[in-house]
Amino acid sequence: MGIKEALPYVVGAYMGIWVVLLGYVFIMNNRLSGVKKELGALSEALEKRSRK
Amino acid sequence: MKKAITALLFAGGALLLTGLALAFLVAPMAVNQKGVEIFSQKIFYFHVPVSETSLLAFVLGAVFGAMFLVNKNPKYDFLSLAAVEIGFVFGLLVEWTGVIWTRAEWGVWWTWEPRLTSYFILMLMYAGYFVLRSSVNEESAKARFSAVYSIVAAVNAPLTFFAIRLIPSVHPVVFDSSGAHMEASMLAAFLVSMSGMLIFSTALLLLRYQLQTAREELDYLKNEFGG
Repeated sequence: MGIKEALPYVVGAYMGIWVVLLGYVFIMNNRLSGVKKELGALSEALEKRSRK
Repeated sequence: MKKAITALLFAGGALLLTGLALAFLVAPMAVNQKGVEIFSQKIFYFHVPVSETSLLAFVLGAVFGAMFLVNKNPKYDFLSLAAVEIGFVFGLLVEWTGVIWTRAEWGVWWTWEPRLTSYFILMLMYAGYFVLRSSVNEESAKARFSAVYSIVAAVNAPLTFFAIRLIPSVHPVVFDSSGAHMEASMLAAFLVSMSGMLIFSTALLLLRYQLQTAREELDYLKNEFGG
Protein backbone atom coordinates (compact mmCIF):
# COMPACT_ATOMS: atom_id res chain seq x y z
CA MET A 1 0.00 0.00 0.00
CA GLY A 2 1.53 3.33 -1.10
CA ILE A 3 1.57 6.63 0.74
CA LYS A 4 -1.65 7.89 -0.86
CA GLU A 5 -3.62 4.75 0.01
CA ALA A 6 -2.13 4.34 3.50
CA LEU A 7 -2.37 8.01 4.51
CA PRO A 8 -5.99 7.89 5.81
CA TYR A 9 -5.12 4.87 7.97
CA VAL A 10 -1.98 6.49 9.42
CA VAL A 11 -3.77 9.80 10.06
CA GLY A 12 -6.72 7.95 11.60
CA ALA A 13 -4.46 5.97 13.92
CA TYR A 14 -2.58 9.02 15.20
CA MET A 15 -5.71 11.19 15.44
CA GLY A 16 -7.39 8.50 17.54
CA ILE A 17 -4.46 8.38 19.95
CA TRP A 18 -4.28 12.15 20.44
CA VAL A 19 -8.05 12.54 20.79
CA VAL A 20 -8.26 9.78 23.43
CA LEU A 21 -5.20 10.93 25.40
CA LEU A 22 -6.15 14.60 25.47
CA GLY A 23 -9.82 13.73 26.02
CA TYR A 24 -8.88 11.59 29.01
CA VAL A 25 -6.80 14.42 30.51
CA PHE A 26 -9.70 16.85 29.96
CA ILE A 27 -12.30 14.52 31.52
CA MET A 28 -10.13 13.66 34.55
CA ASN A 29 -9.25 17.30 35.11
CA ASN A 30 -12.91 18.33 34.87
CA ARG A 31 -14.02 15.64 37.30
CA LEU A 32 -11.24 16.56 39.73
CA SER A 33 -12.25 20.23 39.64
CA GLY A 34 -15.88 19.23 40.25
CA VAL A 35 -15.03 17.03 43.24
CA LYS A 36 -12.72 19.70 44.70
CA LYS A 37 -15.44 22.32 44.34
CA GLU A 38 -17.88 20.02 46.13
CA LEU A 39 -15.32 19.34 48.84
CA GLY A 40 -14.82 23.07 49.34
CA ALA A 41 -18.57 23.71 49.59
CA LEU A 42 -19.00 20.83 52.04
CA SER A 43 -16.13 22.01 54.24
CA GLU A 44 -17.63 25.50 54.29
CA ALA A 45 -21.06 24.14 55.26
CA LEU A 46 -19.52 22.05 58.02
CA GLU A 47 -17.64 25.04 59.35
CA LYS A 48 -20.85 27.08 59.45
CA ARG A 49 -22.65 24.25 61.24
CA SER A 50 -19.90 23.94 63.85
CA ARG A 51 -20.02 27.71 64.50
CA LYS A 52 -23.75 27.48 65.33
CA MET B 1 1.09 17.50 43.04
CA LYS B 2 -0.88 19.43 40.40
CA LYS B 3 2.30 21.23 39.28
CA ALA B 4 4.18 17.92 39.00
CA ILE B 5 1.34 16.40 36.96
CA THR B 6 1.23 19.41 34.63
CA ALA B 7 5.02 19.29 34.19
CA LEU B 8 4.88 15.57 33.40
CA LEU B 9 2.02 16.09 30.94
CA PHE B 10 3.94 18.80 29.08
CA ALA B 11 7.23 16.85 29.14
CA GLY B 12 5.50 13.69 27.89
CA GLY B 13 3.55 15.63 25.26
CA ALA B 14 6.71 17.36 24.02
CA LEU B 15 8.54 14.03 23.72
CA LEU B 16 5.59 12.49 21.88
CA LEU B 17 5.55 15.36 19.39
CA THR B 18 9.33 15.04 18.96
CA GLY B 19 8.94 11.30 18.40
CA LEU B 20 6.25 11.99 15.82
CA ALA B 21 8.50 14.48 14.00
CA LEU B 22 11.41 12.02 14.04
CA ALA B 23 9.16 9.21 12.79
CA PHE B 24 7.85 11.18 9.83
CA LEU B 25 10.72 13.51 8.99
CA VAL B 26 13.89 11.60 9.90
CA ALA B 27 13.23 7.85 10.07
CA PRO B 28 13.34 6.20 6.65
CA MET B 29 10.37 4.42 5.16
CA ALA B 30 10.26 0.70 5.99
CA VAL B 31 10.55 -1.64 3.02
CA ASN B 32 8.97 -5.09 2.73
CA GLN B 33 10.59 -8.25 1.32
CA LYS B 34 9.48 -7.30 -2.20
CA GLY B 35 11.27 -3.94 -1.89
CA VAL B 36 8.00 -2.00 -1.66
CA GLU B 37 7.87 0.94 0.80
CA ILE B 38 5.32 0.51 3.62
CA PHE B 39 3.97 3.88 4.79
CA SER B 40 1.52 2.27 7.24
CA GLN B 41 4.56 1.10 9.24
CA LYS B 42 4.65 4.68 10.63
CA ILE B 43 1.82 3.58 12.96
CA PHE B 44 4.45 1.46 14.74
CA TYR B 45 6.02 4.53 16.44
CA PHE B 46 2.95 5.03 18.65
CA HIS B 47 1.34 1.59 18.43
CA VAL B 48 4.18 -0.22 20.21
CA PRO B 49 4.66 2.45 22.93
CA VAL B 50 0.93 2.41 23.81
CA SER B 51 1.03 -1.38 23.81
CA GLU B 52 4.07 -1.64 26.11
CA THR B 53 2.67 1.08 28.37
CA SER B 54 -0.66 -0.70 28.70
CA LEU B 55 1.02 -4.00 29.65
CA LEU B 56 3.25 -2.20 32.13
CA ALA B 57 0.23 -0.44 33.67
CA PHE B 58 -1.58 -3.77 34.09
CA VAL B 59 1.46 -5.25 35.84
CA LEU B 60 1.70 -2.13 38.01
CA GLY B 61 -2.00 -2.53 38.86
CA ALA B 62 -1.25 -6.05 40.10
CA VAL B 63 1.75 -4.85 42.13
CA PHE B 64 -0.36 -2.17 43.83
CA GLY B 65 -3.12 -4.75 44.31
CA ALA B 66 -0.66 -7.06 46.07
CA MET B 67 0.58 -4.15 48.20
CA PHE B 68 -3.01 -3.44 49.23
CA LEU B 69 -3.54 -7.07 50.25
CA VAL B 70 -0.40 -6.91 52.40
CA ASN B 71 -0.82 -3.42 53.94
CA LYS B 72 -4.61 -2.86 53.73
CA ASN B 73 -3.81 0.75 52.97
CA PRO B 74 -6.57 2.19 50.71
CA LYS B 75 -4.05 4.31 48.80
CA TYR B 76 -2.75 1.13 47.13
CA ASP B 77 -6.29 0.24 46.06
CA PHE B 78 -6.64 3.71 44.48
CA LEU B 79 -3.25 3.34 42.77
CA SER B 80 -4.19 -0.14 41.53
CA LEU B 81 -7.48 1.17 40.13
CA ALA B 82 -5.67 4.11 38.48
CA ALA B 83 -3.06 1.82 36.89
CA VAL B 84 -5.67 -0.64 35.60
CA GLU B 85 -7.78 2.19 34.16
CA ILE B 86 -4.75 3.72 32.41
CA GLY B 87 -3.82 0.26 31.12
CA PHE B 88 -7.37 -0.19 29.79
CA VAL B 89 -7.45 3.21 28.06
CA PHE B 90 -4.07 2.51 26.47
CA GLY B 91 -5.32 -0.97 25.60
CA LEU B 92 -8.20 0.56 23.63
CA LEU B 93 -5.61 2.60 21.74
CA VAL B 94 -3.62 -0.56 21.04
CA GLU B 95 -6.76 -2.17 19.59
CA TRP B 96 -7.57 0.97 17.58
CA THR B 97 -4.10 1.34 16.02
CA GLY B 98 -3.71 -2.43 15.66
CA VAL B 99 -6.97 -2.85 13.77
CA ILE B 100 -6.07 0.06 11.46
CA TRP B 101 -2.61 -1.37 10.81
CA THR B 102 -4.09 -4.83 10.16
CA ARG B 103 -6.48 -3.34 7.61
CA ALA B 104 -3.76 -1.32 5.91
CA GLU B 105 -1.21 -4.12 5.79
CA TRP B 106 -3.13 -7.37 5.66
CA GLY B 107 -6.30 -6.10 3.99
CA VAL B 108 -8.61 -7.27 6.78
CA TRP B 109 -9.92 -5.52 9.91
CA TRP B 110 -9.38 -8.53 12.13
CA THR B 111 -7.61 -11.88 12.12
CA TRP B 112 -7.42 -14.45 14.91
CA GLU B 113 -3.63 -14.58 15.10
CA PRO B 114 -1.90 -15.09 18.50
CA ARG B 115 -1.15 -11.43 19.38
CA LEU B 116 -4.52 -9.98 18.41
CA THR B 117 -6.36 -12.85 20.06
CA SER B 118 -4.36 -12.81 23.30
CA TYR B 119 -4.67 -9.02 23.57
CA PHE B 120 -8.41 -9.24 22.94
CA ILE B 121 -8.75 -11.79 25.77
CA LEU B 122 -6.65 -9.52 28.01
CA MET B 123 -8.99 -6.59 27.34
CA LEU B 124 -12.07 -8.72 28.04
CA MET B 125 -10.54 -9.76 31.38
CA TYR B 126 -9.90 -6.15 32.34
CA ALA B 127 -13.40 -5.13 31.28
CA GLY B 128 -14.45 -7.68 33.92
CA TYR B 129 -12.37 -5.79 36.50
CA PHE B 130 -14.59 -2.71 36.13
CA VAL B 131 -17.76 -4.81 36.19
CA LEU B 132 -16.53 -6.36 39.44
CA ARG B 133 -15.74 -2.97 41.00
CA SER B 134 -19.13 -1.56 40.15
CA SER B 135 -21.02 -4.63 41.35
CA VAL B 136 -19.60 -4.75 44.91
CA ASN B 137 -20.93 -2.09 47.27
CA GLU B 138 -19.02 -2.76 50.45
CA GLU B 139 -15.77 -0.76 50.16
CA SER B 140 -13.28 -3.12 51.81
CA ALA B 141 -14.66 -6.16 49.94
CA LYS B 142 -14.54 -4.19 46.68
CA ALA B 143 -10.88 -3.30 47.25
CA ARG B 144 -9.97 -6.85 48.27
CA PHE B 145 -11.73 -8.57 45.36
CA SER B 146 -10.34 -6.01 42.90
CA ALA B 147 -6.79 -6.53 44.18
CA VAL B 148 -7.04 -10.31 43.75
CA TYR B 149 -8.63 -9.90 40.31
CA SER B 150 -5.94 -7.45 39.17
CA ILE B 151 -3.24 -9.96 40.14
CA VAL B 152 -4.94 -12.86 38.33
CA ALA B 153 -5.66 -10.77 35.21
CA ALA B 154 -2.06 -9.51 35.04
CA VAL B 155 -0.86 -13.05 34.34
CA ASN B 156 -2.17 -12.39 30.82
CA ALA B 157 0.23 -9.47 30.27
CA PRO B 158 3.45 -11.52 29.85
CA LEU B 159 1.47 -14.19 27.96
CA THR B 160 0.33 -11.52 25.49
CA PHE B 161 3.85 -10.12 25.21
CA PHE B 162 5.42 -13.51 24.50
CA ALA B 163 2.55 -14.88 22.37
CA ILE B 164 4.15 -13.92 19.05
CA ARG B 165 7.59 -15.02 20.24
CA LEU B 166 6.43 -18.51 21.21
CA ILE B 167 3.67 -19.26 18.70
CA PRO B 168 4.16 -18.87 14.93
CA SER B 169 2.40 -15.65 13.90
CA VAL B 170 2.14 -13.16 11.04
CA HIS B 171 2.47 -10.31 13.57
CA PRO B 172 5.88 -8.62 13.15
CA VAL B 173 8.50 -9.15 15.88
CA VAL B 174 10.77 -6.09 15.88
CA PHE B 175 12.58 -6.71 19.15
CA ASP B 176 13.97 -10.13 20.02
CA SER B 177 16.95 -11.62 21.85
CA SER B 178 19.26 -10.55 19.01
CA GLY B 179 18.23 -6.88 19.37
CA ALA B 180 16.13 -4.34 17.47
CA HIS B 181 15.58 -5.06 13.78
CA MET B 182 15.52 -1.51 12.50
CA GLU B 183 17.79 1.35 11.53
CA ALA B 184 19.29 3.65 14.18
CA SER B 185 17.10 6.64 13.23
CA MET B 186 13.97 4.46 13.44
CA LEU B 187 15.06 3.19 16.84
CA ALA B 188 15.70 6.77 18.01
CA ALA B 189 12.18 7.84 16.93
CA PHE B 190 10.74 4.81 18.70
CA LEU B 191 12.67 5.40 21.94
CA VAL B 192 11.66 9.07 22.08
CA SER B 193 8.00 8.11 21.56
CA MET B 194 8.30 5.34 24.16
CA SER B 195 9.77 7.74 26.75
CA GLY B 196 7.06 10.30 25.98
CA MET B 197 4.34 7.68 26.38
CA LEU B 198 5.75 6.49 29.72
CA ILE B 199 6.01 10.03 31.12
CA PHE B 200 2.53 10.97 29.84
CA SER B 201 1.01 7.82 31.32
CA THR B 202 2.71 8.53 34.68
CA ALA B 203 1.01 11.93 34.70
CA LEU B 204 -2.34 10.28 33.89
CA LEU B 205 -1.81 7.76 36.68
CA LEU B 206 -1.16 10.51 39.22
CA LEU B 207 -4.13 12.54 37.97
CA ARG B 208 -6.46 9.52 38.23
CA TYR B 209 -5.08 8.70 41.70
CA GLN B 210 -5.67 12.28 42.84
CA LEU B 211 -9.25 12.12 41.57
CA GLN B 212 -9.92 8.87 43.41
CA THR B 213 -8.42 10.23 46.65
CA ALA B 214 -10.57 13.37 46.42
CA ARG B 215 -13.69 11.28 45.71
CA GLU B 216 -13.06 9.06 48.72
CA GLU B 217 -12.54 12.11 50.92
CA LEU B 218 -15.81 13.58 49.69
CA ASP B 219 -17.70 10.32 50.27
CA TYR B 220 -16.22 10.07 53.75
CA LEU B 221 -17.31 13.59 54.67
CA LYS B 222 -20.79 13.02 53.24
CA ASN B 223 -21.22 9.79 55.19
CA GLU B 224 -19.72 11.19 58.36
CA PHE B 225 -21.77 14.37 58.47
CA GLY B 226 -24.87 13.21 56.63
CA GLY B 227 -24.24 15.67 53.77
